[in-house]
Amino acid sequence: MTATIFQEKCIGCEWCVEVCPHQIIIISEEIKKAEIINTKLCIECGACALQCPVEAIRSHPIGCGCVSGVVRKKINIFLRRENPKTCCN
Amino acid sequence: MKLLEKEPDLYDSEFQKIFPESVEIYESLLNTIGKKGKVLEIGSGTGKLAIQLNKLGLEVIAVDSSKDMIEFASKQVQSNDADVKFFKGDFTSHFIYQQLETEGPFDFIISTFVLSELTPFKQLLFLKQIYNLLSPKGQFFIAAEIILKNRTSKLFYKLKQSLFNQINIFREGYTTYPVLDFNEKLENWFYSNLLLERRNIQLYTGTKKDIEDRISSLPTLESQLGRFRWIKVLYCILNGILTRKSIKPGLYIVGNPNERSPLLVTSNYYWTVSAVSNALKNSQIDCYVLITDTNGINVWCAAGGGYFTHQSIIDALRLFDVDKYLTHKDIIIPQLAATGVDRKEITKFNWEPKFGPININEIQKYLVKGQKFPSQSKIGFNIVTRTIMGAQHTIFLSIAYFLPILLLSGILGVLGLDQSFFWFNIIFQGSIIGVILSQVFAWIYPIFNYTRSFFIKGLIFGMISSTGIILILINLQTPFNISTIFFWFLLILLISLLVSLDFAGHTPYSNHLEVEADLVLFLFPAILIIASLIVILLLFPPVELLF
Repeated sequence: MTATIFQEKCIGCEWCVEVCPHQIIIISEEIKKAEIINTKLCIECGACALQCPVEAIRSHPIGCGCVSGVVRKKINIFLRRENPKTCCN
Repeated sequence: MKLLEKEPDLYDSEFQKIFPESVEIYESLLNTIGKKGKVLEIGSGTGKLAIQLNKLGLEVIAVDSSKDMIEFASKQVQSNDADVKFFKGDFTSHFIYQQLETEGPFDFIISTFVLSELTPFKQLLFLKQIYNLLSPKGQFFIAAEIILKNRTSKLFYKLKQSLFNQINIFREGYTTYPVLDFNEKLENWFYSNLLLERRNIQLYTGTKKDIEDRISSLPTLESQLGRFRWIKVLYCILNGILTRKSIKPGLYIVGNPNERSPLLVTSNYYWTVSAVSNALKNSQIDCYVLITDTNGINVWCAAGGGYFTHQSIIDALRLFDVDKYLTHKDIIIPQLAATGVDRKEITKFNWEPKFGPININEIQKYLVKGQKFPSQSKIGFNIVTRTIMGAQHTIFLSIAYFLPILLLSGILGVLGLDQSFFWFNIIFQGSIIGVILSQVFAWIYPIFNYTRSFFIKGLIFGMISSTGIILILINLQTPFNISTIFFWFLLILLISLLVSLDFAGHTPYSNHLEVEADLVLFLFPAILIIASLIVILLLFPPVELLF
């Protein structure tokens, strides 16, 4: 799974380019819109989606994946907790 | 209290069982308060006190964060023929504060048993907002659960909190934060005196201090780190996941900054702050550092976990009066915080947020240039980082998995269970292999980084390591029998899978959904391997020890 960019909404502001920790988003030369060049490296940290001023990027809403975070999420779902906090730590 | 809020009609009677002192507190409050003026009640609950206040002749405005409670209270107000205006929301949020500002200033502000529900950072913000909303001659009444000022109470509280934090890693719980040094906290803004004290409950009243609008001198960042820094940092590295060593949130200075100096924001994890302090000192930058309350978690994890957000930055900017010290509005936020900090939200408060370099050591180049190079935005995972992360992960594994199992088998051994010595040895040898493999995996991690799945990484690593270890040992020692070889091959494979999968969160390459899928994938071979280990032990003995 990777973040998805809806290019028709993109205004080419470059904010996502700046915040991507793996630097895999570029603004394409021809159409001046953002695109992901190496989806294999996308970790869906959600930084680009959060910073986007026009909501043109969709990403899994939960931050980076660490095992205890994932296990905790599972436990919270199992115990049917409302609004569980999800965090690695 | 949070649990009680679900059933408003039982709230008052249940609450009285927990705090029988509350009756006395309400009485004393109603006797002392004036009969005329505007009053704000924070945390109105069932509206009982608000109605009584209204009956005294006061104009009452009430805030509560629970929707159920407000609905219940509104009905109570109607049936009692009283007049109370309600606001729903968190009193410490800027949104509610702005609404209350238009209602104020208030002659009286009352809050009972709310302060101890907030984190120590929010407690300060809470008191500061009360200060801002009170009229010059206004009077406050705050009742809260406190930590008594003797050593045993403090120690007991610390133990309770650290235990809670340990449990909290795996299971999200709910805790209260009894107020530490209540009087000292109030003294920041108020002339206060104690009205009532029962057990660990205190009711304070008082009036505003005349605080001049002058700039007080700020403490240095260095002073917050204290002595024996390297020991504390080492402690963070070694025990980072299990405990949260934090720094008091606040605005601090590095060097001799003036009103045009840059403002940097960071999290309040000790190791993070220490790294920031070192980098700034080494490059001789004069600046302000704003430390936000991120619950003692590093920048990236806190941002991903919802602790380091635009809200926490805005709260810190408001509480510490940051704008008084600066003529500009630029804030430099760590780039990795972009996962949780929405730049647009901070812009709404007239600040101009910028994301700084990913590595704090690049800060000087960034400040001189005024802009970032793409290379400064890219996260690295070099050998030094891998060594530290590997060590941290290894110690976590030892404490969380290996030691408890070892301890258990040791206890069984003491109890004199059959074959317990053999089992203890197997677990001991397995743990040693696990510790070594965990560190080795961290060092050679880039070899496996061609695939995203940590399950596949673990499987390949496991195959290589288990074959390798057994081949080496066969060459060194007398040949093993076939069941011993199979047993240890499978056991080492299982340990490698566990070790490498658990390492995911320590690398910058883990993806939440994929780790989730990998964990499910891991369960199948794990069950299969454990079953075959039992079969080998029962049907094809003897299994020998490895070394």
